Amino acid sequence: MVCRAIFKVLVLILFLSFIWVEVLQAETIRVTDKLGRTVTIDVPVKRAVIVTTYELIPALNLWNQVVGVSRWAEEVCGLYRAILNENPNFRRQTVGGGSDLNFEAVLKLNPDLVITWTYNPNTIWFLEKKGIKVIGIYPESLQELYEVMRLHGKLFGKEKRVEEVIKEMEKIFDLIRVRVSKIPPEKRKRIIHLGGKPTTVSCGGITNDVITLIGGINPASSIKERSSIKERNVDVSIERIIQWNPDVIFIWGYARYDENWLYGNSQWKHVKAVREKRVYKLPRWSTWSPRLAPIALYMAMKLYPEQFQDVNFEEVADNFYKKVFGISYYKVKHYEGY
Amino acid sequence: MKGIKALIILVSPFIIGWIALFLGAYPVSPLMVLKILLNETLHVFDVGDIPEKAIIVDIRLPRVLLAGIVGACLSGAGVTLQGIFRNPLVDPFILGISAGAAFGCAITIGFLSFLPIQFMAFIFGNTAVALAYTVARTQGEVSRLPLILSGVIVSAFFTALVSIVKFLVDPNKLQSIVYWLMGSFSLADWKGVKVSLLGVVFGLIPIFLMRWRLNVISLGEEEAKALGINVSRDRLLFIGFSTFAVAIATSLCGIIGWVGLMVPHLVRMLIGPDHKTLVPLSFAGGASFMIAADTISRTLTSFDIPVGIITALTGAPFFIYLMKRGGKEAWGK
Amino acid sequence: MLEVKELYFRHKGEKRDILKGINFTAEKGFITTILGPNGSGKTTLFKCISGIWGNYKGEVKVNGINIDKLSYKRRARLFSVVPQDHEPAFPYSVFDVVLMGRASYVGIFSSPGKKDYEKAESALELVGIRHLKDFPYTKISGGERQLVLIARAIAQEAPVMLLDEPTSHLDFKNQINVLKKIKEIASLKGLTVVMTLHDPNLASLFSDKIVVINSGNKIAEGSPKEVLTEELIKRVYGIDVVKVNINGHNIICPLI
Repeated sequence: MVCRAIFKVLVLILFLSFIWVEVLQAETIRVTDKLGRTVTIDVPVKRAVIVTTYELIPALNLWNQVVGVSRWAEEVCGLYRAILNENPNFRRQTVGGGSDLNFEAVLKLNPDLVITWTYNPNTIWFLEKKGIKVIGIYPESLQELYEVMRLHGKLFGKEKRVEEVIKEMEKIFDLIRVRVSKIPPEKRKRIIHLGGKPTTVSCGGITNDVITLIGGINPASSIKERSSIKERNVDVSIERIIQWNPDVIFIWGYARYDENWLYGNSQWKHVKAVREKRVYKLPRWSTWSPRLAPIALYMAMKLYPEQFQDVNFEEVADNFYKKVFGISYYKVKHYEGY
Repeated sequence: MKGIKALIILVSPFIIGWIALFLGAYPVSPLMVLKILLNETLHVFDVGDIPEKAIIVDIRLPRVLLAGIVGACLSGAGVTLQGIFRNPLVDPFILGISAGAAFGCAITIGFLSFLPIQFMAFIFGNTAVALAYTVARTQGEVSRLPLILSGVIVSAFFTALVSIVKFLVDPNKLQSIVYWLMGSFSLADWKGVKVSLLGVVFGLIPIFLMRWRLNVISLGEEEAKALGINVSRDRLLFIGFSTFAVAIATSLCGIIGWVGLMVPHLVRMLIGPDHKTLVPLSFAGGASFMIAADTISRTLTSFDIPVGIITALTGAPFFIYLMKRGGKEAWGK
Repeated sequence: MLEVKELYFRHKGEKRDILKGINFTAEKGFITTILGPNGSGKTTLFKCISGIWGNYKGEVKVNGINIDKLSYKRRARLFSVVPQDHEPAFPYSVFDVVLMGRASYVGIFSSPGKKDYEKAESALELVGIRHLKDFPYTKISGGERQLVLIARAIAQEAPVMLLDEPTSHLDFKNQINVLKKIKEIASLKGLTVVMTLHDPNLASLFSDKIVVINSGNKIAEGSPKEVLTEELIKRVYGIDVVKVNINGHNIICPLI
């Protein structure tokens, strides 16, 4: 009889603790987004549409809290596709692309929250008018990326998990920082990052941050400082690039051209990076994601290979993938067509 | 007096082009520029394989040439359309030809990459002007304001179609389309120059040869017919050649507006309406203008301002000025 | 020589004919005037003869050639059209306008040659407006503009010259001068001149033959003396007039 009483008490305590956890967890927070809008939202969010930060879904295990993603996740993200292949039940409704959301699809899902980028603010105003809560993001530095990730953590009740992911990222960043710090300032190399067009260079934003982190110098960043333009990417004449004479050139993973285009083009032959065949196309990974860390490592290893002789990139990446995304790097690579 | 003005206009693209070779982001001394040019043409002054040589020969020279040829094409199409439609306020951009050509290019990049982009650009450029003409026509006559309005509508229509293509196309091809649409010469190379020569040979030269007939056609359909001109046939030919020139230009450097409107006007104000001189001088004026605009766009700041902005900043106010003035002197009313 | 035979015309979809079987001839070297009130079908007849409107029934022949199926170019070499003075689109110079008369002789990918320039010059000379050569066409008087259009028709070197109400926008002085000039040129160059007029007196003074049209029918054809009778004027115009002979010319004077 005492056993039954104890049993009942245990059940009661268990029951109460569940309620306590629920009550404690359910709170309202206020967020100021990139456009300066204040959004009040109940957390944890139960039905979200995620447009550009879809790689955080597997990283923070948000599958049960996400009802819609942009079609880019399924169309251009190998990681996402690989995970879907293993877990078909993770497939979610797609709601169009990042700059042209399918509003009807979004409204039909009746989400609690839409998290999208601020590239086209009109999408945000439109959804707002329809009574949907939207948070606009556009991380332009590593710090900001961490903030955005932590915001996701807070929104979905995964604060602890976010810190774990950030820790893994920092492991790789630390590795880079340590190795790169050994290089004296005068031996630092000049890097430019080319975008959709071979003459479009990154002069700000998260790519620029990474360049600094890996110990590179981005001559294009001076454009932003001198002209105080808000653009993160600008079109320059090839002459300017020859003048900068970068040691290494990185090409955006989603660009239509690759290093061979530059190698075969007589206009570029006087650029040091082209002459020494140090033009590298980046992997087709989103930079607004934990994968920024392995991208940085990739870039660092191309930049100062002598500092990373003992590092096996794919091993490090695989380790990272397993810890962060729960899937093998090699499986994902298959989906990226490499 | 008129002869001197004509001469200056005719020679201006060469002068401006020459100056443009000396300007650019990478500092090359004037003496070095000369040496390099002499080296290329007369094979004297061996300069070796220095970066300055690539800058001048592979980058600046083709860029200046391309800008000049494209400017001539756009301006040539403009003067022809103004004569055909007896309307001073039209140009390939306003009539929707540029938008139509752009759609043709977008659809080729997106879905028909086995075709050369100029092909669809030409087809849809013609479709656009045919639409604009048909929409504006009442009682067999096309009066001025309706034509401009229908051109604007057609332009909006094709721009919308381009948006649809952008939407449907896969993201990799999308950014090709987006960047190309913006209108710039930053990727000008010798290959582009060679393609642009097609526009000259099959667009500008036929227009040049037929130019006197524009005088007669501009009198009006009935009168021109009575004077012995097969107006429908000639009009079709003129539009075909103009659209071809515009299609080539658009396929090479995106949509650039206002050149075809402004330059023929300015030349007409200086030289008079006789197409015998107006047409070749419009070519020259267009070339000069485009080279100047492009040189400004690449030297004003440390990055390239899209050249369409420069043409619009000069073009739009000029258009307003024309409308207010009623184009009295330039048009004889 | 111009021959019009059994000319019928109606607009597409219309039930009634505007021209009901017109017949007349115009001889070389002479001026033939088509006379009629408003709505008589005068303008329609003119447009059919000049080829602007093609779907008529009947024949129009120039020097025995049926003009119906001819190309614009060949047609323009057979007759020239002098339109009414109109608002010009461009400020072309007078010379440029006259030069345009040579259009049917210039190939599609060519510009006028030396011969064309010479013909334009002599046309200007003949009409007596050589001093206006470099003036903008828009800046001369209405009468002078009409003369320019006549010079253009001369440069066209066509055996038949059609003039559409050449005096309608002109003042009295210019009306007389222009018609005098036309008469001079017709006989000098041996042209077949056909013009439409609405004023019977001008027709009487300057024509060799008059063709009277009313309600799409030819009422009369013949010399002014034969055709312009008081009773015809009353029938066609509904006005009472008296015919007077002065200096060998017949003048119609309305009875007010």
